[in-house]
Amino acid sequence: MRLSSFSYALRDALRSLWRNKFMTVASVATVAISLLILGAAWLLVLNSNYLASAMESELEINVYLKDDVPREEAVLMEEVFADIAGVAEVVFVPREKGLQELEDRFSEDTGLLEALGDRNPLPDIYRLKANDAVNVPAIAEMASSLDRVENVRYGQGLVERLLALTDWLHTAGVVMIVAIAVASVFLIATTIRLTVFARRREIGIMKLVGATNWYIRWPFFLEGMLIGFMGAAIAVGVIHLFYAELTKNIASTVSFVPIMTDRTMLNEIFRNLLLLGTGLGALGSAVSLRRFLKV
Amino acid sequence: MFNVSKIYEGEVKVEALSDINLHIRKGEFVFVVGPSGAGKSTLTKLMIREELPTKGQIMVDNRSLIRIKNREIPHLRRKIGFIFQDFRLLMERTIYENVAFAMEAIEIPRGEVRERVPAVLEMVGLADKLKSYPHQLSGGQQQRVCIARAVVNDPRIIIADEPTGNLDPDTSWEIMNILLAINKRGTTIITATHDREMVDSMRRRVIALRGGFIVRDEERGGYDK
Repeated sequence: MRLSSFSYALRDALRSLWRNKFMTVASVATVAISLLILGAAWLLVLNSNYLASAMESELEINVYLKDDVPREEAVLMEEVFADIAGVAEVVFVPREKGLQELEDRFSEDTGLLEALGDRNPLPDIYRLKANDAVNVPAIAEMASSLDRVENVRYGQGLVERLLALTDWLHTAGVVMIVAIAVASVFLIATTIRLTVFARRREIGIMKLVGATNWYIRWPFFLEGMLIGFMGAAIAVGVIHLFYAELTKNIASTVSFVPIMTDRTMLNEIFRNLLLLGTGLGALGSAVSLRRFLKV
Repeated sequence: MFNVSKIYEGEVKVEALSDINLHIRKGEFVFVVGPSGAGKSTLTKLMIREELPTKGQIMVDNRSLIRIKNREIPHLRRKIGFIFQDFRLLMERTIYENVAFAMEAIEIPRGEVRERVPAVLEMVGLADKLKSYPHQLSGGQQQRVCIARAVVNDPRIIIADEPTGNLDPDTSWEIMNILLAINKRGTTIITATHDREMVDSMRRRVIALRGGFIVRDEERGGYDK
């Protein structure tokens, strides 16, 4: 397409956006609101994933060895655990160290060590970390089947619940995204239909003088894409301001809640929202043109 | 260069045109006459491939309109200029813009548009109305804008549908004279009309349609006989 034709198309698109001001404002607002919800849902999903992985990385499997396993053998077991599929990290905690930790955790005035005297009731422990929370139950089962292992403990149930929550958020997010996208497309399609209707005389004349189909379609596509882009830009602006405020508040009040502040990640979301808005606009135009612009 | 020979049967029982054979040569000036519903507009719709004939073959400029591909249709239509009874001007655009619009639509560079539009408007005698809007012009002037728009892309053929239908006799003659002038430069002109006086005094080829049949095809004919 020639540059001058593009500028005609842009001129026509802007002209009809202006001519149907109210419809333009309405559809830009809808796209903005839709993408706002979409962006918020997106951030929620990302943050819940972030939270999940933060919690997952904390998740440990405690393997208690049998009391009668001699120290030399206990130390050697490190390799056995490291060989289990999905294990990311193996730490040996001898019983002396376990007692030390226990004492550290409860403050000094409990007199815990004195009360125990010389006896140390704790077993030797291996702490395993999984490379993925999904593998935790399998690792635990594998470890408990070993000969010298007395018992295996991990946050039974917690992992499963966490995974279920993340899954649910994913599904809900996807469903919401699809529903919102469909709604936006139809609103834009309606707007474009109005434009097509307002310009049907021009379209008729264009066809008669031999304008190519794409020459006729371009202004409408541009119009839809502009609506989508403007809506997305508003949504991005609002999310940007709101999220910055939110992260600041969370950091200063409930600082233990991990929240994602990664700029490149946010920028990627914003870029995707803009692309998506523009794409929805183009799609809306396409829907409308297919039905109302027989060329 | 224009060769129509076609058999057409209307879709829903209506036979708009039946077994029409017609050959219009390059540079001819032809009147198509007949009462409403005789098939005049169907004929023009077929010529620009707005509709396909049920049967038969149509050739324009040695190309078959039956076999032409959809994306080639715009290029076919660029060879044909249109003039309408109701002018079909864009009311919210100036005269200049109305004519330029036809050139923009086929992606002529802007510089060429700026040269060509005033020249064509000068030819139809509207050089001083470039910035006027259609509603500020008389019917005859609007029709001249419509003619300017039809010829601006230098078509081989001009199809005029009742070009003088809404005009008084004097104005009609002005319009006819402009069409004659365009015809002299080698453009084929096909005019559908009800204007008996005009046809009688011009003594050009007349094709009379009635009920979808050609009832008369006569060189230097009159409206009736």
